[in-house]
Amino acid sequence: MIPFDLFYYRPDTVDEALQAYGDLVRQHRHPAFYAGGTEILTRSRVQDVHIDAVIDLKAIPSLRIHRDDGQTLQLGAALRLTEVADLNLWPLLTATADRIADYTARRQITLGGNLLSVLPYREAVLPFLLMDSAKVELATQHGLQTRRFADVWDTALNLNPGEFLVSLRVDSQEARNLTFRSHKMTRLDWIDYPLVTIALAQPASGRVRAAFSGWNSYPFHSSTVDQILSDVSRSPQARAADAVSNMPMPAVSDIHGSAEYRQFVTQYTLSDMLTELEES
Amino acid sequence: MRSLTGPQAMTLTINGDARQVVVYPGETLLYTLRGDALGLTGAKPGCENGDCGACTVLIEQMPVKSCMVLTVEVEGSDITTVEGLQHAPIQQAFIDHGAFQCGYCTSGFLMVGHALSQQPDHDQGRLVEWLRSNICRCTSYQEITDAVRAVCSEIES
Repeated sequence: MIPFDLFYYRPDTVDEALQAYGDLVRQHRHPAFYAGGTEILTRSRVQDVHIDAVIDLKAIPSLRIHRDDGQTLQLGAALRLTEVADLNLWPLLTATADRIADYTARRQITLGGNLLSVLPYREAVLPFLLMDSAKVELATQHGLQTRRFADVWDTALNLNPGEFLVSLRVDSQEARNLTFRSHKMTRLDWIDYPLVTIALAQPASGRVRAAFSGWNSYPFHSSTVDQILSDVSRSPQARAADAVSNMPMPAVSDIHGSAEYRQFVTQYTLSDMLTELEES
Repeated sequence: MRSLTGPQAMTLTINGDARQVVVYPGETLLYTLRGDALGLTGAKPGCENGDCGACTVLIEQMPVKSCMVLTVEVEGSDITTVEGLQHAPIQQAFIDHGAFQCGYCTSGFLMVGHALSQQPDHDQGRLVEWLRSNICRCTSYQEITDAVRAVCSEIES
């Protein structure tokens, strides 16, 4: 229950959604774009978010798109995580997204909702951090715009007020020709926020790339860490230890684990994943 | 574009029946189901945070945590609550396997178990994955798993 009187809009087109947002702002209301709703509903219940209108994007066809034409793989932002997994157009994304929350929750959570979450984890970001070709399609007041993922991301996807994510694109060949591993480590239960989630990817001829979630307050990828992990003259154990010592920010201590424990778990998980990746 | 403000009269299809309700756009399905108009209190408010699964119902035969969906989102959908599972095999299986203690989580587990048993594929991996969506604080997990597995096996055979 959202504990206040809510305006609910369900547009059928991108233009209608943008128009609705503009109209609501002009009426001095506080709208939010909505799709899966899990985060808005939970945060509203504890009055951690102050909105009085939602614009439900699920009925807009371009946000539900899923296609791979052999050159570009495109996934709509309003696809549910279970739909992303069932379609399995990009196995690395499937492997990562399929460990977010639990099955029933993933039937609600959307790809765009996870990427734009205010929570630190946002594990569905990891595969996109590993792809040079990743792009986002945004609905803006100036029309649809396609931008490089890396240009929009620093610690979060930076969208201006009134903009929303329509779809994500990656190069089909780049996505298909990756060897990858994705692993989520939790403190105790299978269903929990991660101590650390690690995605490793390696093109047929190229260096290892790694992205991390749970280590600190936002998911990240580091070229320095990639360089360390790609030095095959050293053992996976040595590379993993060196990578953990050269992370771009310190590990966080929180209810899930201390910084020291997180470092320990990250190191041995990374070592195991490197071994698996290089033996595959 | 559909736009809703203030109380709305709408028809929900619940357990095969068309039910007239008046809902606010900010109401969750859990709140509407349990309200005076419908009185379907089988879906339990637990965490109301999408974690425990005690409020699970089926939307188009698939499990959904009813605290995590607005009622206005499911207008026109086929909603099944535990009250609609009368004489379903999953209920007898829970009795046969003693798959509950305090019973608060039971309706949620029944919904997940029933939905899974209706799926064409309910192998062990899928069974475990689906049941992980719900929490039993009395820790009857083994008995619940046995009950759901028994129903799935019965349907397969």
